[in-house]
Amino acid sequence: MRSPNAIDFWRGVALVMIFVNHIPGLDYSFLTLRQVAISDAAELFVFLAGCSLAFVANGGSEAKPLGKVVVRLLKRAFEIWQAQIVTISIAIAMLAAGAIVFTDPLLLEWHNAGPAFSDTVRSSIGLVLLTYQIGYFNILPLYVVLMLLAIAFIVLSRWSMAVAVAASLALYAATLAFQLRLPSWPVGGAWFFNPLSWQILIVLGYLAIYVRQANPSWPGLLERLWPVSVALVMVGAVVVFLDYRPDPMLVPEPRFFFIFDKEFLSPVRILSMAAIAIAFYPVFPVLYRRLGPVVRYCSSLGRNSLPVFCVASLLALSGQIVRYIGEPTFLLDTAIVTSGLILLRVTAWVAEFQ
Amino acid sequence: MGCRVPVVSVALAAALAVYATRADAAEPDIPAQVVPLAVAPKPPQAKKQSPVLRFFQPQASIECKVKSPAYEGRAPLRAVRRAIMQKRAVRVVALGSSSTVGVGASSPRATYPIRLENDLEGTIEGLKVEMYARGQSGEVAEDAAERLKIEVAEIKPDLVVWQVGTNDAVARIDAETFGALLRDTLSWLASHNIDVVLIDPQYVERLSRDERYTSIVNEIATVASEMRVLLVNRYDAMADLARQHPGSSYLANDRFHLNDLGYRCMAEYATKAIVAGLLQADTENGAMH
Repeated sequence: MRSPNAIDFWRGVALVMIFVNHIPGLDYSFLTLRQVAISDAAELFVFLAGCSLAFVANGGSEAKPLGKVVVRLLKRAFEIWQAQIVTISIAIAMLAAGAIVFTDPLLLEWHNAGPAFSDTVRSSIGLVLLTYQIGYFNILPLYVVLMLLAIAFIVLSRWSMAVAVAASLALYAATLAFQLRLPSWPVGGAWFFNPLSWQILIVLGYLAIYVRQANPSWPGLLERLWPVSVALVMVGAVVVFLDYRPDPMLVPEPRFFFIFDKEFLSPVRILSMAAIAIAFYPVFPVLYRRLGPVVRYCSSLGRNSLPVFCVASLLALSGQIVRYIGEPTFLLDTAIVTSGLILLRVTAWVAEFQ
Repeated sequence: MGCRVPVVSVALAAALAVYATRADAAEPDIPAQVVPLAVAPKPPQAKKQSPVLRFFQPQASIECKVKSPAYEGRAPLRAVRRAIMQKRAVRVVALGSSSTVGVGASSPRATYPIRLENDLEGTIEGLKVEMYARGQSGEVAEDAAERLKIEVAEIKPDLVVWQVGTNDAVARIDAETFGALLRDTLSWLASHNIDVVLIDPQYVERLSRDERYTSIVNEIATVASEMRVLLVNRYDAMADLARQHPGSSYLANDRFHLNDLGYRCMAEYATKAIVAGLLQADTENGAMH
């Protein structure tokens, strides 16, 4: 078990925020990033996954054998795929059980779960192919594809980092310009998170660590960028406070470059996330000294992000069902959040148990 | 193109006259703007001939007959009419439907958007509908509104048939906040000349005395009336269906079967609302000529 570090800590923070965000209407939603920033915890989570990837590929300082890295990423993609199948299956079963126990057919329609019951033949195929996703259970399919795209990125980067970064940027730009999407099936439409554009965050995270390792002047650059980043974070907070969003009918084409879209990860969301990362970069050492238990708690979640994420998703769904069945009060919301945070820590403990 | 306008107008206006007369005759107590469901069953092929368009009466299957009105409000669907006039397919976005693609009409479980498409095309001959079905992803309310705007900007539909309120009711959003968001989104759609038909949430017996749930249903009716938007009364219709068939075959083997019936009827009710809105647009246009 590694000791707390900034990546694990912030990843743990993102996991807690994702848990809270996945229970819409919760009284504690005001504590999450999305209430004060254009981007939200999902961007932070994927960016940090990119940071981790740099360690997987490069270890301490020198590059690991390419074959080993590729096999490790393939295994990781398979592991995430398994986690998605198990988690979404449990979620569908929870909705079905809720519908029976509470005699409430509406639960069967939640979050696009309807086809799992009304078109089981097609949805069972889509479930395995990851093309059938239900609301709030759509991040892991993104991760599976991101792991596969990361293999291509790392292979290219061993040949030329500039070419690999250019390829990633080109894919991002083409995805937004030509609206390239991974289709949903059997439900019409596309994936909630578009991996073809979100891959840019993995690459950014990778680059942040890669450049730090290769370039000793990196901390100095971050220090110079810090005031600008803080200003950008504040501007973002004002934009969110004013509830401003560009009208997608009025912005120039290609419109996904100019709106605040989450599916395509519009550039403003990347800028927001990068500003937050730089602005909060110096905070970790301070927190480590002052708030040791909090840092240890969040880092333990971050170290075990996959099992913690799966359990957090299911706990969030339970929280939604409880709030829907009962009368939501501040006390109930407090109970949901508290029990959730305890169970997430238990999950991390079990995952690390030798 | 110009010479077709009056001809189509006459045909549609005639159809409206026939439709309104029959509806009024069946339920004289109901206000003129409300078309009752409990009209005498009509053979599906009953049609009004005209030189250009053949207008079929919207189907009203026996199972879907209820006392409450199928829809509320009067609103001309000008964008839909414009599309027909331009002899192009009417682009319809069905939002919030748990629909699947690839299920043909031959399927025993044809889904609501496909039923709606078929019902619409079967009601006005020559009408071609391009249906875009988009499910609810379970986002929080304000994000759902944002997503709608992006979908609309992408597809540029003539008509949005929007099942609204379920996610908000589920997330226990208060009616006032929800209403403000709905008003904002409807104003935005109106500002871009896109027609809208709203569909309120499903009736669920357990929630019929839940004030938070019913307050969302009521808020939709208030906003729809204020913003002059057609509203399909799915909640009331399903409540009627549940009362008419207590413990009947609809619920006997599978207690969730009412849902399927709800979807089937919803397509019929939505078709009625759309036809009425279309005819009103045509009458309005006829008056201008």
